[in-house]
Amino acid sequence: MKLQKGLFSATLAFLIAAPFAAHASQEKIDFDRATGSSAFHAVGRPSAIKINGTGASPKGVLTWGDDGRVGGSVTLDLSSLDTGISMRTNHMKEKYLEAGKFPQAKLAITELGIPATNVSKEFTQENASFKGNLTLHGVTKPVSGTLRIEHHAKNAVVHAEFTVKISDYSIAIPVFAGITVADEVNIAVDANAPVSLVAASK
Amino acid sequence: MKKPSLIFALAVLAQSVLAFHASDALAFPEMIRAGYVNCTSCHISPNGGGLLNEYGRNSSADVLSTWGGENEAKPFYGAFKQPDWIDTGAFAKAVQTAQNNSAMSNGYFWYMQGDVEAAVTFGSQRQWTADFAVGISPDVLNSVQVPGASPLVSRRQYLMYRLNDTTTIRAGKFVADYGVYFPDHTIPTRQGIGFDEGMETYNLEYSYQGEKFSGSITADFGRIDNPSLQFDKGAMATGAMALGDSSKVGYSVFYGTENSNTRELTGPYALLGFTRHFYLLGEADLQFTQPSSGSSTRGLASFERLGYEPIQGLHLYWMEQTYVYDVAGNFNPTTINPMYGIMTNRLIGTGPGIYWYPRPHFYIQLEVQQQFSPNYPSAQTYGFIVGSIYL
Repeated sequence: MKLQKGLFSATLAFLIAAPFAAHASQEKIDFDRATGSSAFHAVGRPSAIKINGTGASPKGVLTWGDDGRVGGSVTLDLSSLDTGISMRTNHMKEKYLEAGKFPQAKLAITELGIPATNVSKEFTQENASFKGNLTLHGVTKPVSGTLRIEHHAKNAVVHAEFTVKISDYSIAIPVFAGITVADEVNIAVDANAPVSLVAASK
Repeated sequence: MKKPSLIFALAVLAQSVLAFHASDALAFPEMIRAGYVNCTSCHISPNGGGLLNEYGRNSSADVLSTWGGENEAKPFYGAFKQPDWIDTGAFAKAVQTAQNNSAMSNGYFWYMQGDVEAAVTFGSQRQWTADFAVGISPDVLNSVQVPGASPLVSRRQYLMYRLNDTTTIRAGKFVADYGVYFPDHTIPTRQGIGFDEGMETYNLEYSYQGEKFSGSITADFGRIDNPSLQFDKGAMATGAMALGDSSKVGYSVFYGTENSNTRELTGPYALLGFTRHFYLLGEADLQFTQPSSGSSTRGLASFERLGYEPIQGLHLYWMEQTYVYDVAGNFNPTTINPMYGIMTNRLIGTGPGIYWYPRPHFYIQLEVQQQFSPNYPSAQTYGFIVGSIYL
């Protein structure tokens, strides 16, 4: 009887502890405490004007586990965007992005092309792929891109790039004084974000 | 005090009467630092200068000047609304020079320009553009008009067909596309090699202005309306490649003949925007001439301007110019370089300057050079201040 009680207790303890033990290697990448910036590049035609804009560092938290699952999202404050020319910036934010109505862009990551075995390890990877869903101007569309990551014990230096078609997001093609912005806009994010292991459950 | 030589007297005469005969170009190649890799961002003309398009007018207020409101950028300060198929502009410009060396000290005031220009676009896709400029001759403005000479000048008159976003064909009178269309029209790489304002020729031009590459091929028919002016006839080509979003490098070639004299030009140029506020513009050309009689010449023309914009609209720069008509020392001021050739056979000038655009379409340029030339009795200080208004 004593033996049976002992077995029961051990089984119960294992069942309770097992989920935690199985997901001990989940990592949090904390963009809320990151330093960095965002940037975008567009071309105005017909004269091939290069429009280079900047923005704040994205905020949010991404999680990444050794089971390959990724989660979380980052947001970008659209009011931080700047094209370097005040009138152009105002037109972009007010007339096209309607930043007053849609103040943030949100990128939720769904897939990350980095081996899950790298969680919590030191490594550098070039041209890693990622997929996610970008919500912009009230419209959510899948996006994919590449990133470079330098992963250290306590922080990760990330450079991510992806391209969006502004017409996909119900944004009118910007036209100003005879210059039309090309539909495709390249977006880049640079961040140096703290990383930490967290307890996770299924 | 040394008595001025005949050559020096000619130089002073030339500098006073000829050097500011024409306007400057109202071209701003330093805008490349803001991502404006092609002149067509702001100008109607594919190689820049002259009339602004609507985007160029807005950029003058938003990018170029220290202060300014939206209305100031509009034609005639927004006094009336213009249809979108027409662009107009009016140019007024004047200069005060100062020259000081061991032989003399003097200065000249010169009205450089009083022009109006208009361009209309038409066709089902607005693919056609007709541009026409007319102005009062600076000789009239400065009361030195030669009897019988026209009181009017027309620097540009052309018809242009746009094949697509990047490609145009243009025919008419304009400054042919060679090198960099610097606004300082008296520099060696403009006036010194025959591409000064006032030296426009009749041309047929094929131009490509893309994201990565740009360039043109031009047939130059000289001054078919006035052959007595003895301008070259020939052909030229220029090609450039963008380096990133704010720099480009290019190379130009020209071959021309006039009355059995032949002239070849070739050389590189660069527009380098290191940062949004720090830039270097430069061009260097070799010139080979073979007169119908006399010795051939091998010359050099170069110009560089290193600029910094500490606050929007204020540009501090250092410039350098070198002009050598012939490394062998031949001096032939009569035909191929009628203006600069008279002024000096060899010249090196360097010094600081300021461009300030306090309000849209208005700028002041102040430059002081130390100039060295065997044609001058000593090294001289040469300076000028230019005021320009565009309406």
